[in-house]
Amino acid sequence: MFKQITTIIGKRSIYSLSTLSKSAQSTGRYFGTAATGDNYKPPSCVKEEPSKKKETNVESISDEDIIALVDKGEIQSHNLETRLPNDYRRAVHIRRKLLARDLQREHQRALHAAAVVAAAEKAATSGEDPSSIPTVSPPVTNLDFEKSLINLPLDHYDYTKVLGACCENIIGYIPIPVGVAGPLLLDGKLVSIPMATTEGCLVASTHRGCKAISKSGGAKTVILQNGMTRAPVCRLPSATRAAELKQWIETQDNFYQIASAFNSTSRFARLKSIKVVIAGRLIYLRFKSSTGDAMGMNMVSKGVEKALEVISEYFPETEVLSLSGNLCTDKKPSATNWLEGRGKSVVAEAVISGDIVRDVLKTSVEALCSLNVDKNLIGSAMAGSIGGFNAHASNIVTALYIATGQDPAQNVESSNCITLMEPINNGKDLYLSVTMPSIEVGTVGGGTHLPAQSACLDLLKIRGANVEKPGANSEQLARVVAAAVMAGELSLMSALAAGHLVRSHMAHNRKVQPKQEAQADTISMTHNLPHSD
Amino acid sequence: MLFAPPNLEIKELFWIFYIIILIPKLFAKVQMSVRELFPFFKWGFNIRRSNFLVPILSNNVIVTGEEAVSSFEKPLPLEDIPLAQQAKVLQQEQIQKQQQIQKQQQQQSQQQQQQQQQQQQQQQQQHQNTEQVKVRDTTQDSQPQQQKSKSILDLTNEEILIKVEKGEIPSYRLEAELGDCTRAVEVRRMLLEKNLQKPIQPLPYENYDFGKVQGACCENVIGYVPIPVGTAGPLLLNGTNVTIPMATTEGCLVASTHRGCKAISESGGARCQIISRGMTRAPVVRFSSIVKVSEFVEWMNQAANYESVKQIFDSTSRFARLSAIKTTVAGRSVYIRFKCDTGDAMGMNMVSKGVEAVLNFFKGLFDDLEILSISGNMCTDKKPSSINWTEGRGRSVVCEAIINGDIVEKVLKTSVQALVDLNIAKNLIGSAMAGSIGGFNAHAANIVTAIFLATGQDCAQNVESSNCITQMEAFNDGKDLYITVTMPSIEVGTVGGGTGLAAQSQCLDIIGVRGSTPGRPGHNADQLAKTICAAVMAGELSLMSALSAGHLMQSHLKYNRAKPATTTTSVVVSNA
Repeated sequence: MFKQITTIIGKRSIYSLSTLSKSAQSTGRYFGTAATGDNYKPPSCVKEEPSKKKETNVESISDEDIIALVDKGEIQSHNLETRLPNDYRRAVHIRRKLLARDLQREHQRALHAAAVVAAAEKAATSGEDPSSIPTVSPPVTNLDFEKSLINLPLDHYDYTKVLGACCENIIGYIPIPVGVAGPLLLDGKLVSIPMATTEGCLVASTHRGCKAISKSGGAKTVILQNGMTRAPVCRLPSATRAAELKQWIETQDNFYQIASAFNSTSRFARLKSIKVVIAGRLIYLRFKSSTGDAMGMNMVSKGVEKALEVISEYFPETEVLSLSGNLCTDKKPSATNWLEGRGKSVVAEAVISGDIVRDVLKTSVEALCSLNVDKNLIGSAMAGSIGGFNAHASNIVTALYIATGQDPAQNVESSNCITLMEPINNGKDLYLSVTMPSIEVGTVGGGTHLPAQSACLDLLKIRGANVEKPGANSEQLARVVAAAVMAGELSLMSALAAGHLVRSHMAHNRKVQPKQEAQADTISMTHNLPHSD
Repeated sequence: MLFAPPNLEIKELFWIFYIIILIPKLFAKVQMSVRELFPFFKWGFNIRRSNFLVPILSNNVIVTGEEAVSSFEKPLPLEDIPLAQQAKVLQQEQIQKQQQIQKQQQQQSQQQQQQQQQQQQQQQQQHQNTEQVKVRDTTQDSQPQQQKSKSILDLTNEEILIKVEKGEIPSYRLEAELGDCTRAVEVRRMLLEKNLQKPIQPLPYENYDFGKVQGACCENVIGYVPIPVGTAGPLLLNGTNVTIPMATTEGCLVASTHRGCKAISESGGARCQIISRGMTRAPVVRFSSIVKVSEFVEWMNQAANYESVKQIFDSTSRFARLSAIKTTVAGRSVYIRFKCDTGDAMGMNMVSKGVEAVLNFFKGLFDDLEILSISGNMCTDKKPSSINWTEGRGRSVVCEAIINGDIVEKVLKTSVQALVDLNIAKNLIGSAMAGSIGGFNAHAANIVTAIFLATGQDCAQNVESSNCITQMEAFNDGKDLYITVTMPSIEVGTVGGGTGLAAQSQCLDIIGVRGSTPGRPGHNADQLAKTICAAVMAGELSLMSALSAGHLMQSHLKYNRAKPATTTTSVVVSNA
């Protein structure tokens, strides 16, 4: 008994001593630098390495003192987490305090400046002597940033997973509501689709599409190809030399040599092709590689660096201007992705029975097909679109990306999609397909490991890497994206067509169906997306 | 039974017979005994179990789990026309029944209200005026709710879950039935967990006001996804300091933008201008022949007609002001692109409303005009297209800054010449070779998406909102860097959509553009567009320097010149 107690007391006393010395050392340094200059070192700090000096934690100090240290420049605001390694929430909290204070100051300053200008103008217009203007006291505002910052949530979040991987300079998090659409019958399995969005009616509309597809026998998907790309830009002394490099790379043996170097960088990276584009003496090499279950940008970048080393052995005058030469093309609209594909190229198809088109979607097969030609094919062609031959693929792609922790900035090319509709079975049923050549998804890395996002992946049963078949999980995610887009397209197109149907009914004095009329009203009110049920 | 399919059981025949007899009685409002209403009560007859009725009823019910699978194996009896007709009749009868019940309820409530009013009149003599108003409000609000949901509210979550599983309450109607959005979310999560046989604990839902989401932002809600928010800046923009909130899960993005902000602010700040503003919507209409089309286009080209169209359009909203119409002809289809000023809102709904009014007006003038769809993809909303790049959509913004040569070397660790060269090789030639439209930038979409997420914009619109061309020039005899960013189609609003949610509006507050400024419609949204454009410039500057610094380092090593400056500051090379 006694031994235990004494050891506990001993530990405690050691702990309190160490914390005391730490606080003493940091405060000491704080005052010390002010007093004696840069080279001052408190005695407790001498034993430590000078490089570690900056990493000492300041957990024992109060918030106000830490803010004072930040003002002093001892701690940088974005480095607060490294100084408070056991309590990231507190670091975020302090940063919020700092931000609120700065905003308040800036606000006060602007108000004061406006008041001074107003007083000066008044004096100038009334013709007073400028020297007689009384000094303007800073006006008081009832805006309190510190209080209002409570609206941005801070608590109940695990910041350890975010730090150093997902975000810097964190001041909280943005909650985005998640709804589920479906279940959707996809390749014989039922899938519930989580969607994070703030656009009303989007989930409801997709849900209706899912219902229509599932009731007609479900959707089928195919993966046409799979490969993430990265295109560095290099400069050679002349265009002839660039052409020689192109020829050299396109020889099979040389390609194998580059590929083996590329593949050595990762277990999953497998170089599939190199596409060479020449512009003058600049050369763009578009590497394409399969990347397992990861989205794979980092993996490919690593491989490309290694491959460029091999190339520069044979062509020493190659000057690598940038690892990314915009021919990749990442997060920019481009024809390359539309033609060559990037990430996963997926086709989804379904046959919707005519009765379901009539009962669930409240429209007709013929109206849907002709609207698809007029809107998605001719309309987009007239607008000069590349890969935008759809109604609202981007909506569904983005909602799914946010929910499952993908990179939502990549929806620029991931939402490339062409929607096709045609009547089959003598015009009774509807054949529907969407082709999406560049869906960039992964179930590993990026935002996918955050708890909420991985829970959404769990809904789809594709969390993490697939052990048995690497890449199967991310392929399944791509399939889900394509099928969900198909459901969304079907529902929106029928809403638009139903609105048109009502009008034409009224115009030709036929029977007016009261149900459809109600729906047409909602169309005008709600951003083109109807309340589905 | 004329319409009876062969696989009917005796029970079901009884059931049909019962409905056919019962419904006329209900219409006639004949008084009926309880035993007559529920003749099969003792048998425990379950509608959902019936093979015959499930296909009909499930048309209006979400079918989940294994039931859904089994119903696919037995598809709807498509060919059987009499049955389908019968189903329609049944549905209509059900609707009429509901309407009758509603009417009765209304009558009852009216009677109650009359009674209440009588009571209140009595009370009026006794109490003061102010108190009565309160009493009336509370009684009127609370009583109908209690009547409706007395049975549901008293149940536990588990009991509600059973009801949902049975199909008595559709899952998506839980909010309306319970009146408590958080509890509805709880029940829906239980349902989902049961179906998946897996807990979805990590997806949070506590401490969130789902009341604001309901009916406006999301349906079938099961929780929310938290996305970390960081701040970049402050950035000196048009003389004021702006702090930029960014929501992202891509590492180094905030840090990189922060470095760009620092470089710009220390060199004297950025200047930003709005070039044009106007949200667009392009309906597609069809005429009988191209002769009629040319008549229509001629009509549209006359100034007086434009004025009359403008009058109709502007009358639909306080803020909508039509600024241009562009007509495009493809065969006998005509695409009419309306462009309109929408104040502080992003304005898609506003424009759609105006367009509908104008289309109705057209309909009166042109007999054979057929409205195919209110959106004909010429808008172009959420699709890549060259029309947004050339004509603009939302706000067209230009931003510029002059970066001091010293700062390029010290903060960005690169040189002016390397930046200018890389910009030409990557952003101009590279994107041109990739056949890009409006993609002449390094990673504008990253910053646009992060700010859109943080401030509650429509994230799907980053497809065209991130249209951007980045230009760099050497300035002052090659000492300094002149950088400019042009973004013709930033679609933002500070009112409506996701901006109303608490956290999102707080992020707007950090920029200082929450809601709308009275007397200056559109000012706040303008400011937000400027902020996004300036932040994109900061992000472009930082990433381009990181890329060119990598190149510089290599060339330095190769040519054995002076030791390169180490790039310690964060670098986004991963995704660009």
